[in-house]
Amino acid sequence: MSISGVKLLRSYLITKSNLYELLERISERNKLYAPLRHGDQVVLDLAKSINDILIDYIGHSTLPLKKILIPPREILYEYWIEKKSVTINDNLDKIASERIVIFGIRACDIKSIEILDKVFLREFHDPYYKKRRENTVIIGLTCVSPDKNCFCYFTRSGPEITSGYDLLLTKINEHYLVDVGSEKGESIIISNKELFSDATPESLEVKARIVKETIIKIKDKNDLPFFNEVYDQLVKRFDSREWKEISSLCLSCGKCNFVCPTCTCFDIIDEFDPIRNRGKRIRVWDSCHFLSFTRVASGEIFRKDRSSRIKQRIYHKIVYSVNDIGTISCTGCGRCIEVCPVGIDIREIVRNLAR
Amino acid sequence: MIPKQKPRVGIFNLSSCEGCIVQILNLGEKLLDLLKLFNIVDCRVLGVKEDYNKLDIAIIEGCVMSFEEEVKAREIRERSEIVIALGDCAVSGNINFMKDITNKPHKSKPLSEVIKVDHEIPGCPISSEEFYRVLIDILMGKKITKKSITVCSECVLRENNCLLEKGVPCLGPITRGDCNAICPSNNRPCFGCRGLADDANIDALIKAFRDRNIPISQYLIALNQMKHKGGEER
Repeated sequence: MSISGVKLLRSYLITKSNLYELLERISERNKLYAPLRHGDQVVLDLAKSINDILIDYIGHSTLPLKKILIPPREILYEYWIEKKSVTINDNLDKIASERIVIFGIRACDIKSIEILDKVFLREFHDPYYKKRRENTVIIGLTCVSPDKNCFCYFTRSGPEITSGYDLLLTKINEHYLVDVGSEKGESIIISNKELFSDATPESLEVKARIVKETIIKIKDKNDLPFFNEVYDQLVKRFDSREWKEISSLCLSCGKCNFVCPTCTCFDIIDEFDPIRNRGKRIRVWDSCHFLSFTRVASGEIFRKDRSSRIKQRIYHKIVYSVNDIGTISCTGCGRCIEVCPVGIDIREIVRNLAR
Repeated sequence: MIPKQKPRVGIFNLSSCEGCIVQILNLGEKLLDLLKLFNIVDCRVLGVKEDYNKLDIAIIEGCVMSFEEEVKAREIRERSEIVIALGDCAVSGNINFMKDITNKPHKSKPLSEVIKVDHEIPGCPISSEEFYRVLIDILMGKKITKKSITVCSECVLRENNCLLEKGVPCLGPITRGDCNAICPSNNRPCFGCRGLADDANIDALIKAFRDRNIPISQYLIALNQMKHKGGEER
């Protein structure tokens, strides 16, 4: 199985009621994560009932897909000491037995998988990510109603996407067009043949039209340069005075990192119970906006200045990421804009600096 | 790995409601674990008062409001190896200080203004879990560092509806977290009980309040002035 770079296979059609039937069947044998309602938020979570799943929702979930592949707080392993020997109970074994299906994510999150793969499966393989990733099936849902902060078109990550998913659904009138993106996706079709019919040429045309319409919606709300074309301008403006102004607004609260589909920084903590001689090693998300992020063993902090921290986030997305993994790591989902209490907007920053 | 010589611990209170000490009792089974590892020799609430001269760890709850309390704090400091400030009153003065913030000089003093404090456990009340962790870390000789995580970021991790967006004066963005955003998750605004986050930007929060027509309390303004003067921080 290849994880990225699979080419588009065939396309099918499925009715809405058959789609629910398919999800029902999937949920019987897998952990099914899907967009659900939580207060005013759409959250990606374990679907307890198929009827709770949101199929036509606006924008995207509050936390991105990474919350499933790299949970915010994850026990990596537990250990105990007995007569001077250490036994390790690796959580990897549990992950290996999990079958995960993630349904209903948008292009911005599907694109993020490509970036997460480049971070976690490159030189050093993160075993926990790798196992989960191998055991995960992605069923995407083409976005037709972008939110006011969505700009995926300008990061070239959506609204159309041609790889990174196993199946991709697009609402076509009363049906859903199903694009197959991998062998895993194809096998779902094969084992549930009776729920699908072949795609018609018209349905493919309708999809192309819908994508075009969605691009227009995004373009209407945004006047932006393409984010993968502003590298040089941003490098030149590293010491620009604008940064001082931006950092005077920034609360350093770190929300933007937590909601970003491609922010991958984490911290490792150890918890030990000296009575039972047992301990846990735990991975938790971290944020480059926190002072403690660059604190080293001697106590020295390398990014004391707030502007150096906000610059780190923006430059990582658009410059360092290109140096490091060969692609920008902003997928244009707009989550950081949505949650920022003081309205710091990566679109404005990039537009101004690229001018 | 139970130590041969259990560290001697004293738990004291100055001006406070003793709620943080109740939080210690709320540890339940974990409190019994702590009793296997530590020897509590002095604690009014537990009814323990042994004869002792030196303490390995002194845990002090409450802020210093009077000369007598100042003397008491100094005495405890002198006979103790490690002093832990327990709860927001001890760490920053809490409610007493909030009322006192515009007075000069302040009558209420956080513990660190009077004696050297080795560790601070913030919160009103403290988190029992954090208290347990700090004591275990001291026992194991680990260096105790505070994370800079904010309440606001922990709140978004729980995918709550933002109270600020609803026009509620929530201090989450400038407050030190590690409380799992318990208040905003229960629809109560953060009132900053864990103290200012590292490099907290109060100016920016005041602007965010103004933009949403949220009234700005005198306390927040006074706190901001104090921060700009580089004086004590809550």
